[in-house]
Amino acid sequence: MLTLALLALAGCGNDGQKRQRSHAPADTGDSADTNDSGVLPDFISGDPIATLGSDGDWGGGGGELVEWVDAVVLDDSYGLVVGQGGLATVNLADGSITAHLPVKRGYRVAATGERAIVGTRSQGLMLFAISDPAAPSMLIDHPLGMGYHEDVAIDGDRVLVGWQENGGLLLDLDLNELGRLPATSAVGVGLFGDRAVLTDGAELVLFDISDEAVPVELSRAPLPGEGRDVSFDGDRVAVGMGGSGVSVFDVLGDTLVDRGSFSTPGSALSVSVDGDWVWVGAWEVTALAWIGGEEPVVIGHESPVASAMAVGARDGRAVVADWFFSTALQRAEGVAGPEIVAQESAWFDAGETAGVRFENDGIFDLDVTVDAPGGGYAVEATAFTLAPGEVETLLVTAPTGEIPDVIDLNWHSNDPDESDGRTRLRRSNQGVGTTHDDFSLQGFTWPDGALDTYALSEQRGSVVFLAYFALY
Amino acid sequence: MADPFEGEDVVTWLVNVGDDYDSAYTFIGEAGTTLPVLLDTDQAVYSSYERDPEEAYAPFPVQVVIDRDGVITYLAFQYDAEAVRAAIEAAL
Repeated sequence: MLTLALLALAGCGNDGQKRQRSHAPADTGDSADTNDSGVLPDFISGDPIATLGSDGDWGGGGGELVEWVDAVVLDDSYGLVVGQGGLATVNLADGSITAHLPVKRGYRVAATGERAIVGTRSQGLMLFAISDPAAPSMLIDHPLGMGYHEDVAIDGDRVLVGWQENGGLLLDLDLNELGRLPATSAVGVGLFGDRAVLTDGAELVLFDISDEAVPVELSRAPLPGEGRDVSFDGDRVAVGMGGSGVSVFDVLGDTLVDRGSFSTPGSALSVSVDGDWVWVGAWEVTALAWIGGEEPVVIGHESPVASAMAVGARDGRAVVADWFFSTALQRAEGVAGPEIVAQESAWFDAGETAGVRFENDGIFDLDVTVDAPGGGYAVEATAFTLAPGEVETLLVTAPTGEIPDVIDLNWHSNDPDESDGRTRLRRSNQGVGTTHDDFSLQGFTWPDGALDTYALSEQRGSVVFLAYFALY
Repeated sequence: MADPFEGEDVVTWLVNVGDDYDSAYTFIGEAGTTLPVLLDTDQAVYSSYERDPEEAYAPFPVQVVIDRDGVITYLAFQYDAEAVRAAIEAAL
């Protein structure tokens, strides 16, 4: 079947099953997980990330579909988000939208003090005046030509656009071309003074652009995965690589120096360097890592209201493009905690044992207690402690005889944000001859793109073919 | 791209696992298919299929055929178009 041709493009499958908190730089081949207690600043135990507020609604009730997908901080008080709803100014104190321009769908945004540049991916670039963040105005609407453009960056009087096989497009503030950074798959971009960085597939490249017409490649470094987003502050580069996590580099002289990588729950869609910190918009969580030492160390996560599609941060404040919401976050200075990562669901295998995975992605010990479900379920341990980075797969054995399709395993922890939760234990690990569990997922069709709900139970009476695929 | 079972009582759903909406939408646009694309974001459905611990499967593709009574009649972790076609025809 022709449709299966696209499914044969089996991406390399999400790394999600074997996340690591951090591992050593790509070129040393050393994958020892480090205990960084001697390197980190002193922390007291607590919740490192606070949600200050959020604005938006779940739509479907006549609300406007906004779908924010990128974010940037402008100053102490404001940030910008872009998405299906165009462009909006966000109050960093509480996440509220204070100005909204219903322009074309934005895909990426970057800003300096005076100007913001928005990439739409296939409908050109938009340049905005933002010296009064409460009243942004569009200055230029610039069609870019064929091909998809990805990340955008702006600094001083230059703009850089990741234009895939067309390379890194360097523009002035009238959006006239100044030069081109050669690349075959330019996606993530960053600009700082006379330096530019871009991701060229699974490589990070540093350029000198003091002569814009003749960019000079200074350094090139391999990445564990395809680059998707870049944040560059002149001294450091963070690269978001989706399911491959985040890589961090120092710029020392003319050289990129790999400081290592880390991964988070979800997929690293967006990164934002803020001094010795990097924030990560990873769909399932917004994550925070400390990058002031030899290797990055994940400090904690914050759950988004909807989906953390992107994050922008400065001076400890962050704005999250949280799909239907704009959300403001604050980093608590000197505070960190344990960070529980638990599964939503686990399945009993044929031997009626389920493995329930718990991980501590924070920097303090995580204490977990678990309530054994009533009715004869045996839980391997009902209390355990995980050191930072440690993983526990707890075995749960079902009683013999009929068991319900779903039973909850309730857990409790000293994660300041997630003191209680549950993992759903599901009976049928599905195979040929079993009734497929019902499910209800959001989906879309091309070109319409609008999200609808698809429920398997509604297809009873038809033959159903499910074809799973992934891009990474 | 046409749906090869168009006109028959077959529902084909593509299920994307773990990618963001934008990337999935763009990919599907480039593939040129109008089949529904479901987003199994937290991998809940994708992870639920029984895998033989002795076999080392690549993560994708996973292909499932379900008959009119909701029972799984075909489950494979490799790409075999002929086998899928046969399973669908047997279920019709």
